[in-house]
Amino acid sequence: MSFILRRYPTLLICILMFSSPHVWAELEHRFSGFATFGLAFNDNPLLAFRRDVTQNDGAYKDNASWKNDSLVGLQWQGHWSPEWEAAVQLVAKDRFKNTLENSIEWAFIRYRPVDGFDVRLGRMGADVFMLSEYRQVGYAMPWARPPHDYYGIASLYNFDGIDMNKRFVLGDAMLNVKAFFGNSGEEYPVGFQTELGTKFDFDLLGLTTSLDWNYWKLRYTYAQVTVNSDQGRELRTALQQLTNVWPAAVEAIPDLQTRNKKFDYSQVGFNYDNNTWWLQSEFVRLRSDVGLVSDGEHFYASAGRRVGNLGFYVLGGYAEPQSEMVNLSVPMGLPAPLAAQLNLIAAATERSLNGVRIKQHSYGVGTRWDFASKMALKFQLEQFEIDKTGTNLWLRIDNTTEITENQQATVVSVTLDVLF
Amino acid sequence: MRKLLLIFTALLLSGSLRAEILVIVNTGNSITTLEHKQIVDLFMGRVSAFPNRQPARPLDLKAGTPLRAVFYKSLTGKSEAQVDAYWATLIFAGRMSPPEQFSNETALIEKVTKDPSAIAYVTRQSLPNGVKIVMELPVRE
Repeated sequence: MSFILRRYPTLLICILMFSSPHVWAELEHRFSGFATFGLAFNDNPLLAFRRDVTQNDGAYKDNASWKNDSLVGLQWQGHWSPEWEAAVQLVAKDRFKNTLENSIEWAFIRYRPVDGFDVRLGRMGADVFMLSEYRQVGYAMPWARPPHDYYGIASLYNFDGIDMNKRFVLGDAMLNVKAFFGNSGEEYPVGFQTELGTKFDFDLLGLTTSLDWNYWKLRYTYAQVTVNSDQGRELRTALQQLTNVWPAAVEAIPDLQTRNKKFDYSQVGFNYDNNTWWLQSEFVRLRSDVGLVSDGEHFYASAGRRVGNLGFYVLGGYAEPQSEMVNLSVPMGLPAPLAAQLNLIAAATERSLNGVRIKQHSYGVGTRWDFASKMALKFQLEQFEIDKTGTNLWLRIDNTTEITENQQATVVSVTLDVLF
Repeated sequence: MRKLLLIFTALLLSGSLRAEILVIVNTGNSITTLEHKQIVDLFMGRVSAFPNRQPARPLDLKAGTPLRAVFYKSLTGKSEAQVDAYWATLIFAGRMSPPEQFSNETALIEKVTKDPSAIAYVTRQSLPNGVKIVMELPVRE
């Protein structure tokens, strides 16, 4: 199933649209868009700030970056009956691999046989976290960007597949249950301003429930990801060849396997908004059988108040690994050239497995000014404390130097968000 | 601001003790009245059909039209910026299409007379044949 849907969202839409000659005649078009012009400043000289793990560039000491947050999104929605609708969303931004294919965020057909039940087919948002489906729409959120300790890991923007949503009315409350299944892929840069990346292809399966009641919104998601690509092969082969001189090497091999291994997200979130005060928080536990995807807990909480067309907020969060650091000890007493070779391979393995760890916490304040219709200006100031053993949400400016001390970073963000 | 004052004055002089906004549908619609929460659900994109399960198409005024801000504030307690931010979450998630927007009330009313699935809001006024009132919404400042 996922193979058929994979990578053909636009083709799918074209086939469905041209399959009926009446379609174009009855079609109603809606065009809309969003944009963010952002500047991020970071005072840390060793670690570059990035919005999430898909970016290979960002702000560091004396080098502000517009690339972290700036983007333009265009959307077309076609509506030809209460039952049938289609949408295509394109987002232009600084991507690690910038192709038209990667710029298609959504391209799906929606069928709604009755109010309260939707089926979508094509490319759509991976609805794993609260902001997942609109995380690039700055105007829709109070902050300069989705909270970093939490959304920095969220690399799943979209998937090609199917989702189904059913609404239940429970008195004054509304419960939405959504199931989704599909295929996705992402290439992650291996370092700062590098063109080298690690390509992952995965299948995604999940269930989301969200309850809206008066000022409250509660949400729970479980999503499971199965990795299809085979990464870490070179290191595995190297370790395999050394098992006769270094029997313990074999223990690291399963950690370096990715194909058919799984990781999953258990997410809870809540939001309270009485139009003056608001509060939002999310927690996710990521459990991983894949050594190259770090086990961890991620959390943020934010509270704010609106005063006329101004908004003020505080935010804080943490990311904490849930597995031990990998430490490989090379056997003693081996001849010098062999010992040197083993040490190199051990170090490379440790770097691969420990390099994905994320350990940091942050707190900050910010303000939003809705100065004109569909335009908002934001200013956000955050302090990050990054543990030397978990810097993966950041990029080391000098790839050849290890981070040996815990790091601090003050990040200032200014963004202009518009809708059109 | 002057336009806003004019609207308020018009609403206050409209013959009622409380200023009101009228929520209207096509006379062909079998619905006779709607409750406050049902109107909220329709205009906030939570449902896409009337309680009688007929498809519903909420119509809106263009952003920045004074009545628009007054309507959403009175209906949901939200400012226009909050409503736009909220709708952005639905539109750009691809969950709902944005409501069709009109530049004035005359155009809104004309559209409602032609479309049995339409629902719109206007200031209190005498209405032409072809539309009917399903709710009178008190203005909240």
